[in-house]
Amino acid sequence: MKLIQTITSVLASLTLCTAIQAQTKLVIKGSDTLGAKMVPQLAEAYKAAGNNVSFEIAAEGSSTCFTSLLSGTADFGMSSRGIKASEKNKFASSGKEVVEHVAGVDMIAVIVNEANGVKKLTKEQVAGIFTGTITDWSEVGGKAGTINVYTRNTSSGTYKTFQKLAMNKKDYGKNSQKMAGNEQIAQEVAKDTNGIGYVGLAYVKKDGIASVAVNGVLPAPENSKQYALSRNLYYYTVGQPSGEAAKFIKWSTTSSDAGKIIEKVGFIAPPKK
Amino acid sequence: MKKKKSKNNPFYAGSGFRILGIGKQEAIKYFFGGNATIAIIVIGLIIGFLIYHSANFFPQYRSSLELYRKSGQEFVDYSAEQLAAQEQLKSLSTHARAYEIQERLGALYNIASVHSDFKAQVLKKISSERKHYKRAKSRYDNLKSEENPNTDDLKSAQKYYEKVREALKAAAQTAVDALDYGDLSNRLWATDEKYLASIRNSIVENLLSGEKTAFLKEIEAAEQRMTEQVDSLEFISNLIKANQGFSEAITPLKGYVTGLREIASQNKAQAVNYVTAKARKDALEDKLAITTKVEDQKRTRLEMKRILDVEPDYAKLNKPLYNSLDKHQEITTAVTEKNKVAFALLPDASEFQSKISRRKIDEIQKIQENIGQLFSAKSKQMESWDHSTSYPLGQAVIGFFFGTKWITNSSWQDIYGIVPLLAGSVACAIIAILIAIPFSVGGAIYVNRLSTSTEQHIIKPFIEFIGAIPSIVLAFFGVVVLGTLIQEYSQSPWLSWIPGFPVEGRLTIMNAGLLLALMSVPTIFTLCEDALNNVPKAYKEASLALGATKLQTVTKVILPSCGSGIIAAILLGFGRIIGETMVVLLVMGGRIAIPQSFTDPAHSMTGILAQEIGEVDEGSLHWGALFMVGLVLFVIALSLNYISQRILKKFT
Repeated sequence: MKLIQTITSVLASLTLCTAIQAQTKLVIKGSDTLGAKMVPQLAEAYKAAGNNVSFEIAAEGSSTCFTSLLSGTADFGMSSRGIKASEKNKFASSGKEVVEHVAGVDMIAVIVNEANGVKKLTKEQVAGIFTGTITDWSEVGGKAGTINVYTRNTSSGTYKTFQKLAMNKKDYGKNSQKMAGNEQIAQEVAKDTNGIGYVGLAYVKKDGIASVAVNGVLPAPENSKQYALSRNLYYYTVGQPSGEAAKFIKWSTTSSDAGKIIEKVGFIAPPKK
Repeated sequence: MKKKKSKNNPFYAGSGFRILGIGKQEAIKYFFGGNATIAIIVIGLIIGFLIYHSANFFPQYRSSLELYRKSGQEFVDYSAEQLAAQEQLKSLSTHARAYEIQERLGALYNIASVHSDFKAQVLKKISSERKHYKRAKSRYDNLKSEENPNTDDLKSAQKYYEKVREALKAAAQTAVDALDYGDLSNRLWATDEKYLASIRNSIVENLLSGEKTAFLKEIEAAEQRMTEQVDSLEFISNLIKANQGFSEAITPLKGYVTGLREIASQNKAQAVNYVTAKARKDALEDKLAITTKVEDQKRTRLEMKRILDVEPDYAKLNKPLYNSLDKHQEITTAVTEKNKVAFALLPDASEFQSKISRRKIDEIQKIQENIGQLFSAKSKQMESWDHSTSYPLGQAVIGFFFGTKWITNSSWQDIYGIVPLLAGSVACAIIAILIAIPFSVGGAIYVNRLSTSTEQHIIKPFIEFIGAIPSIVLAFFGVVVLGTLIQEYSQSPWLSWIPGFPVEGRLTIMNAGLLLALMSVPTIFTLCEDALNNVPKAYKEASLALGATKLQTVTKVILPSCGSGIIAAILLGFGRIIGETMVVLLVMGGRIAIPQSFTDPAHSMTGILAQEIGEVDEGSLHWGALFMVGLVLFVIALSLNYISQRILKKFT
């Protein structure tokens, strides 16, 4: 009897194992802009929609997207910036090819302290403030006070994108303070009545800050076409995606359910082709 | 004397086992010796690793700067400096007017800010009442707009609406009455007490009606009237004219610089394309060797053909720059003319009431003295500029060690100058050490020489416990608690005499310095105590026997005899502070500029390493620069250690 028991239990555990193995696992790595909220929530919804997939998501910055794709430790990567030429070379020399998929659109909101009277800036003024030629609120129609500029740090994708979109590729002024993340910028600006900074759209609803209308347009999903500071977010795959990864990418970039989730976390669904 | 032959003595050579002729005693000896050797080898490896990764930096930096010259960016930056000076003139003159208005308007100036700040605070407190109010109002309005409203419904809706409205009003009133000038987000806005009641009433009124209140309108009108009055003063209207002169001079210069920038950017893009072409080609060749599909190979070959590997003709590319010199001459003369007129209009600093305005005018005058020189110097540099001259290695080295700019990940040109980082690190460390010395040295002397043994048992473990607090925890404390405290209390008027006060942001050198002082106290304290313990007991006894008091013994006998130990302890503490990372990264504010006062934010060498190394391409220029910073840091720490050891040896 004991033997039969043992055999059945072994069999049972074996079938369990195979059942677990039948569930495919998707490993996603890269940008923290995407990986903080958007992709995890998409993954949850994707699972809830009846797909037998498990996800492993690591969000450690856009650069890790490419390093892990290169080493083959991720099924696909997420990035808040386009791929660099030097990264492309590395893929080419190992015989791989990267394919880009637009995952969504993010708007970079310029934020000031809630108590600040300035709620409108032109793109030129924004450039002036962040490049350091405008140093006092009185120069942009506010009350006299030295402007304190808070920016992301140099390794952030947002840092570079903002430079391209808002500052005409000029360098940041030397008085800018470099913060580690969106959250930190929002916190410091909320505490500093003379502060100004920029954050992703998902962060503009924090306490104590207000977003600024740039060229008369407020950053909001419905203004994505007119707003001057929006950027694409990407998924990257090695070669054309296949299997479960392809299904997930297709679902998350085209279905309306995914679009709703993307908008809920503060981004804009990718434009329809 | 005969040695005891016992198995219990582990150091007895003859006892127990032997492997390869090594007995227990030797085994233990070699084990310890081996460990010491490994430690030395590891240190050697670390030094080697740092040097290996940073060795390539200077040649790489040199060629990067040479490309900067070849593509004409250097030329553009000369005129960009002229533009920057001119823009500063405009900014400063705008500031001077604004601060004078602020000063002359006095209490009136900040009422609008106080109003909106208080309103925001009240809104947060009464959000649920507002929701009710909105719902009731929309229902009432809907009923009213119907063609044949049910009178009973309408009445009840109206009644409910009025009730909710009263509730909202009451809630707003209590919320606003609880607010005082002390609750302002920026306490410097605090205005005259006499306005407080009106501001409160106006907020409640504004919340209910949603429109600008009569009070606010009146204040705005008064503000405008006063501003116009100030503007009509003769010296202010002269200032405005001067400001216009400065701005008008900017436009042509800006157009010129922007045009050149465009050209130089394109040149640079071509140059970079050419420089990286080889790497791209190599990469594709590797790919060709790996791929087996014919189709892929075809595509790769096509891609390879498209790569440009002819060196761009820099002389031709830079021709527009050389040709623009005449135009530049023309523009600068026009700018100088305009500036002359504007400077003549500039009022004297003594006419201003505002201290800040006076300072701004002084700054303008300083620029006035130098701008002619700057313009001619830069123009001369532009005239003698030649894209083909090579960039000397020495200049790259000097640029790194004495450069005041650290610009990375730039779309224009990366510049690595360590001075702002070094200045931040040193400034923070000096503040920390100045604060830590009295606490730690004083504490050590007290605990070691003057305290009772119960006190000793309480104080010592507590101080040593500080060392056990993880630095990230201290950093959080610094950001959330200490930073806010400093910011709030520095706005109190009775502290305004301290230079640098009031502190604007939470993240400053002072904040980080305070935390680092706390962190270094246990290090210095423990080492100081060791030094005090090393003083021979006979000194103390002799001194006391001669009739000296305890305090006299400490100051006249003990301290002089262990001074070198204390100095060494302080130096080691300094080394610990310079090397600390987490606190300076999170608390110091990350501003890469040489700090002007101890309440400015700054960046540090350790902080920049932690922040940037994670996402840098291995082997790139930026990578090398960071390792160079690491090497500098290592050399500083090593020399501090060395000096403290020398001091100890020399005086004991």
